[in-house]
Amino acid sequence: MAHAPLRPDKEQRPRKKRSFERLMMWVTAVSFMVVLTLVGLGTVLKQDRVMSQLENRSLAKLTTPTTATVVNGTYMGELEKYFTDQLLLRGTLVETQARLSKNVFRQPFRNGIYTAPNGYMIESSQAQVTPIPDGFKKFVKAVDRPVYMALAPSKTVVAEQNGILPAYVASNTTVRYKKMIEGFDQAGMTNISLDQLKLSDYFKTDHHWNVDGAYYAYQQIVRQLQADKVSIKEVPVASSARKVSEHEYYGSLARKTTLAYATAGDTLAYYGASQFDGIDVCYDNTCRQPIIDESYIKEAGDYADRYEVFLRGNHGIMSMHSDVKGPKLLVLKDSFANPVLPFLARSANLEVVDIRYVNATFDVSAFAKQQQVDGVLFLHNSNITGLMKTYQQKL
Amino acid sequence: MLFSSTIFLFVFLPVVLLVYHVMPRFFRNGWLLVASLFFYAWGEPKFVLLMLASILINYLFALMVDTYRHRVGIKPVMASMVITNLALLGWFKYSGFFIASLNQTFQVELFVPEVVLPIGISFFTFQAMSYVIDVYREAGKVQKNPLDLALYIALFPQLIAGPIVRYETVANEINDRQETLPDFALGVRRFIIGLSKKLILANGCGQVADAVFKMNDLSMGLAWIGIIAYALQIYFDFSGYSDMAIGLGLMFGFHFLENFNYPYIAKSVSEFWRRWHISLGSWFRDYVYIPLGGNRVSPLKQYRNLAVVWMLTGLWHGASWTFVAWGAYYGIWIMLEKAFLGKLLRRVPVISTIWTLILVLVGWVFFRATTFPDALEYLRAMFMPTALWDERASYQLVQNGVILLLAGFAATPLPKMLGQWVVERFGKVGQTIQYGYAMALLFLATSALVASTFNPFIYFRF
Repeated sequence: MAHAPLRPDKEQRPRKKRSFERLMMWVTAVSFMVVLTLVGLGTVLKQDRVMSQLENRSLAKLTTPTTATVVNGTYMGELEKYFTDQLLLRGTLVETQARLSKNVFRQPFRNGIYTAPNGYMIESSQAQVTPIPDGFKKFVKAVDRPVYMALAPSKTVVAEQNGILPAYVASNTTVRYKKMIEGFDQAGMTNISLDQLKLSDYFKTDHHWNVDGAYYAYQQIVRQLQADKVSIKEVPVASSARKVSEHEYYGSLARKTTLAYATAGDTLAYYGASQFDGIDVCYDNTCRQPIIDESYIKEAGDYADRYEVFLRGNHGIMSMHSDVKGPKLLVLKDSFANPVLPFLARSANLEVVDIRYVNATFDVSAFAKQQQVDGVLFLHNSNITGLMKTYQQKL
Repeated sequence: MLFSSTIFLFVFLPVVLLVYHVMPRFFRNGWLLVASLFFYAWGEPKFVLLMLASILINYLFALMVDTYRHRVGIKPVMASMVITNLALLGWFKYSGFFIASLNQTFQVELFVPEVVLPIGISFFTFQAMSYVIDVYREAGKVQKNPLDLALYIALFPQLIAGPIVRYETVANEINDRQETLPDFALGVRRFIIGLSKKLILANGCGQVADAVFKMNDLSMGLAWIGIIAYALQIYFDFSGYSDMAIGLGLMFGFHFLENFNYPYIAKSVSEFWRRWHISLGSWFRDYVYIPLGGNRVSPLKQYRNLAVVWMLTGLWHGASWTFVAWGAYYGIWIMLEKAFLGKLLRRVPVISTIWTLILVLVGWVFFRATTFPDALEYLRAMFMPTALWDERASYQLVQNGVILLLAGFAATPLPKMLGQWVVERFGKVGQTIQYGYAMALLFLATSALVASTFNPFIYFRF
């Protein structure tokens, strides 16, 4: 009696092999089509997003074609931009690529940001030293009031001084920072030294300082004014009023790299609004604006810009008045000033100008005289080379 | 439209494929033609008319050639066809360069026209010429239906970046082709591999090359890193595009010829050019070199023929003297190999590969540099440097060393051999791995595509 074969015979085996091969072909073809179609359909059918929290920008909107824009091809460019901005799973895909760069390609830098072993994210910068525009010198003379410069070293400066950046990274922000201070000094401005700031005074994942760095800056400003015989008092905050964000804070540098590179999130600390009672904040023709807006702290999402908790961010012209007995100061500032101003407003009345957000004809000297301020304070971080041209025009 | 764009990948391609495969066969060519014209019109609608004009002209030329083939006077028709096509290409691609060169040489101030270069004009012009020549040589039948000819020239997979598909290759498939599951699945894998080459490897290496070529005072190490990165970028960029075109062709039932065959393992410059942009090399060989007499003429004429072919090859790549120099450079090496060097190189296999690689890298310097002085300065850094190494070289190596190594590995036949071994060795598991690998690559390539448009707004970053 013939035995049934234990294994398929030679003719049967290739057929089975072929059938599996054919199955995999079907799977390949179908899954390719399904993935492409689903992503395309999903993108078209889902509701459009207006803002990207990750990229901190408005996303492209669908525009209406015209004969002219179709013929010259610009409509198609806009449509591609819109489709890419609104693509289903866009954020996930961006994060995936960042993880590939970090974990497979082992790239320590992402979009120019270096993540140090201690979790601090640093943006290296190598550039030529640029002179301070003569507009500052002219302004000091024209305004005829004491002019102070509180120039915070950028986080990169502190990182360079701490030797955090690898030796092969070209970065000369410290040199530029020192030259900048010399230049402001030569322009006749009084330097308020913020050199003692430590890396821990900055967020790990954001380029700004934290509330401790800001408070240190406030103390230095008051002490310098006191040294110049200005009648101003340092008003301490109650440590019991210190709060911290429930959600982790991932700042601007984490947005640039995505969470793939952010080894640790920050905790954003701030002082409760009760500490600033009696200060009336006005901007955009509206007073009684909040000094501390906790909605930013509570906002959902990894990339929520929680730093906006301080004064809701930047405003072109703002006043912070109270019945405090102190000088009236004009503060010319960038976003580093936002956590400092609430403290400073408890010691002085403030007129605040962010020259990036005022109209082209704004004249700082005329504004200072019109507001009859007792002094002018520039409160910036050292990464302001890009602002010099604007200052030259508006001072 | 580019293959490496989201709108192509997630809208155009699935729509075209789905409609194509569900519609009756009779309408498929028409649908592909409409899709191809739409594809071309996406970026530059007005140039569709130019391409259609080119198609119409060559359609008529081929009809004339086919009808009057055996009568006296067909050669002037062929000459007219070549002149017409080259005039079209010449005006759009070379007129500015030509007149600027005249101005510079003769110190005159002739008006330099600012002509916008229609995308893909070099490719579709060469394909159109290939059609008429193949009809003339009876290597392919004449197309009576102008729409079918339009499909051959405008077929979107190979329209804007090749490969240059010769008429004889697809003449039969235009009217009679079978779309099969094995071809479709193979096409999908090939397309994904091409997309990954372009978006992951070419763009990754391109970042290094772009950064280095912008720098001054290069150390030797940095110069070599830069040119190696560029060599890998251009290879994966171009071969990736060819892979995508071949893959797309397969999905529609077309079988295009290979355009690259691991050129960086070549043992001579001649071999390099048999492995690099094969469709262009064979086009010049069959339509220029051989008609000039090829190897069947005296040695002196053979060298003349080579010189003509390589000057034209250089010029085809771009309207600039650096491209002409690049072509001439290869022409000279190929002549030397033909004269004596080839025999020597065959005796030293490993050294010949390294030697060829160095020559190719030097050639890429001319290709990448904007001007001659830039190219010479770069070569000086490579071979007569003032510094051997610097911090910038360390940075590039730390930041991009892995991707350069991976790209270098991927430029050899080893990954393909490894893939084949896995499939053969592990059977079903191997085939499943092959599928998973393709899908993972699709995901990663799409991630790279989307990440390239990542644009965090932190201009006011203080």
